Amino acid sequence: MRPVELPPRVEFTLENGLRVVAAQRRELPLVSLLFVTDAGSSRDPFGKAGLASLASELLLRGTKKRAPGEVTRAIEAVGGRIDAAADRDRAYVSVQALAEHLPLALEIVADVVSSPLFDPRETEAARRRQVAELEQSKDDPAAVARRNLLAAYLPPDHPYAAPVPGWTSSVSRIGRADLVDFHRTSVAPQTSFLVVVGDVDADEVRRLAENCFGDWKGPGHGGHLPPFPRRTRPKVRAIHKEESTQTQVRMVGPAELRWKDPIFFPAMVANVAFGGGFTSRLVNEIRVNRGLTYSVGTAFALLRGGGFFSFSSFTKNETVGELLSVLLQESRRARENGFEPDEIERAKRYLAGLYPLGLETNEQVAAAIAETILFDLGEDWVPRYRERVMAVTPMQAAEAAARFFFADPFALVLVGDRDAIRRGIEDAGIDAEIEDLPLDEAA
Amino acid sequence: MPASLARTLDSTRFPVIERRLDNGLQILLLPRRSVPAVNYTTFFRVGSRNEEPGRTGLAHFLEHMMFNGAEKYGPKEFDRTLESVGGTSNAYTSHDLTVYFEDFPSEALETVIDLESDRMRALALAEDLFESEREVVKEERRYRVDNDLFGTMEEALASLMFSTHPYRWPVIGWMEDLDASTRQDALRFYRTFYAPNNAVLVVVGDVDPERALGAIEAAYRDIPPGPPVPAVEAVEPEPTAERRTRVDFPSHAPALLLGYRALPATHPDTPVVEIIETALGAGDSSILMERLVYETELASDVHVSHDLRIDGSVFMVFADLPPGGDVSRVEGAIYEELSRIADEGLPAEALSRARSIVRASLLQSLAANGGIAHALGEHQVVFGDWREAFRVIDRYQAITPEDVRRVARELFREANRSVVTVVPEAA
Repeated sequence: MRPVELPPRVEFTLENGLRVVAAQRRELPLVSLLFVTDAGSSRDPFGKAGLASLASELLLRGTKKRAPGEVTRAIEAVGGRIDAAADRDRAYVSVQALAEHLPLALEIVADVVSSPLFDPRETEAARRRQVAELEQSKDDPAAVARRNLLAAYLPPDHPYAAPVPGWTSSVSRIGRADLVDFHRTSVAPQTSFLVVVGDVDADEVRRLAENCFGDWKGPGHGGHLPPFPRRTRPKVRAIHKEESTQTQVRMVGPAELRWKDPIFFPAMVANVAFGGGFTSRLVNEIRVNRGLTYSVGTAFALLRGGGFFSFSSFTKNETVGELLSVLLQESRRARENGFEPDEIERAKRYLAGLYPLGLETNEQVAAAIAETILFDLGEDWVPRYRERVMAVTPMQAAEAAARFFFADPFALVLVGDRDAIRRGIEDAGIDAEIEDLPLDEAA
Repeated sequence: MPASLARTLDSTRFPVIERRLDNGLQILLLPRRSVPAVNYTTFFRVGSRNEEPGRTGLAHFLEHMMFNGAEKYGPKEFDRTLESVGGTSNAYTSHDLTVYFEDFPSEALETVIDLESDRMRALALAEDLFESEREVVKEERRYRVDNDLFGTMEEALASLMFSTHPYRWPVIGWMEDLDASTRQDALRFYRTFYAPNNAVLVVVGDVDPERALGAIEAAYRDIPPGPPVPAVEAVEPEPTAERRTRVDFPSHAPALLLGYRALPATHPDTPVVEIIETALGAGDSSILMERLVYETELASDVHVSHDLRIDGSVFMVFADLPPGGDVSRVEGAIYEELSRIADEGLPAEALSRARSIVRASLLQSLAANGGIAHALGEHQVVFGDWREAFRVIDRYQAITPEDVRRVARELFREANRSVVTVVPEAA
């Protein structure tokens, strides 16, 4: 295997505490900027879910020196693109542009994160738009299922319970003062960093960053996340949708897993063998052998306050019970017996083989650098990733399966026809607390 | 145009090696060492446009069966073999093309050549797997169309826009036809369209070109060529009036989908339509986003697309409305903007913005092996020359406001328009 390396990086910290990483890649005259800040939806006050998401969107709708509309107009006029978004732990601003527009790109990022306007009219409009999008998402059963995943598992007041864009009810309660306050207390140089990757010179990045971000000040803040309570009994959140001919199925369970744990690589390998790869057991049993679905997947979500493991698929109304039975049976089999050596070998080669494909573009390299910073992964993380994957043994993968593959009481989200859901739960023999949530309250 | 960009987007900077085997298989190979990986993409000149009524969806169904065993690698072995050498694979079917691609570490090239040549030479189409795959495809249809607002609207739009041409049916096919298709149908389709003379193979990445070409030739050269592929002769008559339908879908908010019949992909004015598409809908500062979403709030989101097709492309505008929104006001505002372009062309600033965006997107697509392989392959298949992927840059540059006006006037005629709406019952 030819080694995989990140491009050489230059790293420095501005006087205000903002950390900056510049990495040069010269193949194409392009640059990618990624600004990351500790302002995710887990900082939303209870009852105002959607605040971080709305705040990030509004960064692009005007600053103290750019009228609403001028931010995107400026970068799109030269063929560039700017995006802003939040996830559960962080918010991001990213720019893709021609390398010659680095000064403009950097100046715009600094402008939007340090002095957003939160113009009253724009704020109201963005709130209305977010509520409209949530209403529209009720027509998309996969989106409804996804948004209700952690909400089904966690108590409603846990910071991870609400979906990142919030609920129609919580977004309606957000006012301009909430946004201004959230930005002031959550986005600060000490809790942010900037990654610049592309056909750029590190000295120029430093000079520009000092100019653009130098005057930015803000109070730092500490993370504060309550641990999440474990469920003692499985739970089903059933969401009825009119005229469905297919039911969306999601299952989620806790997975206490961190990037630097010794069991991290065994867990990644076991996931590929179980449901993450196209020849995994679940794909084979659910799709290939039984034709029950088009799509099957499993994944870990490793959040700052704890991890989750989830399953995702869909099937026609008549076969919900069969799909659930296969899922439960295969989960138990993996937990109790682990995997055959050839399944683990294939999963390892698959993970190791695909790894370089995630490092092709500037955007991907910037994301990989951000990951090493966020999780303090160390210089050798990327170059040694494939070697660490290949070192996983079937025994270690079995241990990961036993710990993470729905060993504890789980939550199940089913979106589709009420009767099909009810029959499916009975057919699969699931003994759970059942919550019937009207579609109107599911977004 | 910035000088750095002009240099990068010059086709002479891409040392593509071209070969054609005696059986007609065309090969494009571009060595590139940015990461130790390779993209291997096979384009077949077949899509839903080559299907017959009563057997719609067959091109896509066959795409699924291509993963279910051939002569040397039996059922389930394609993906298992590929994953065990660290590779991944996928495929898609469009109205015009069926495309298979693998991404894998450099060492796996010979395995991939063996896998792909095996299924081009002798697909198994096992009866039992044909039956279980039929159910998988039906689930895909329920997911993408029957239980999806946009999927339902797009299917209705195609039925309005085309009355004669195969573009009138969805790529995934009608449910009834998915039930009716037999293994024999799939076999006949495979024999007709999956011959080497109907394919283009593109390999981009970390390869030794001579060794790679040698291995490809050794693996594919004994696959016999097929007979000439039957031409698609259906000609869609010119529409004479606007067509309109309201779709019944349990929805929480109204939605609007407009379709205009645009030019064949190879038409010299197609780049002009792409510029219009970009000016109208690409980015938050595009004409329709500013007008409908930010200034008037008539819509919460707008998507403009231009689906390039061999026998006539499709230009679409899709608007999501807020609950209780007024579809006719959204329509009116869109028509005003389209008429403005048809009357006045695009202002210099909007034209320059659109040019910058299309150039930058092309450049972005060249950052990964798969993006390059797609750009080269699609242009080779549709235009007969991969260099067209780069020539289009000069065409964008040469477009004048008068070109925009002329093309928009023809495109945005009322009689050329089809309209699909969804309005919730309570509204």
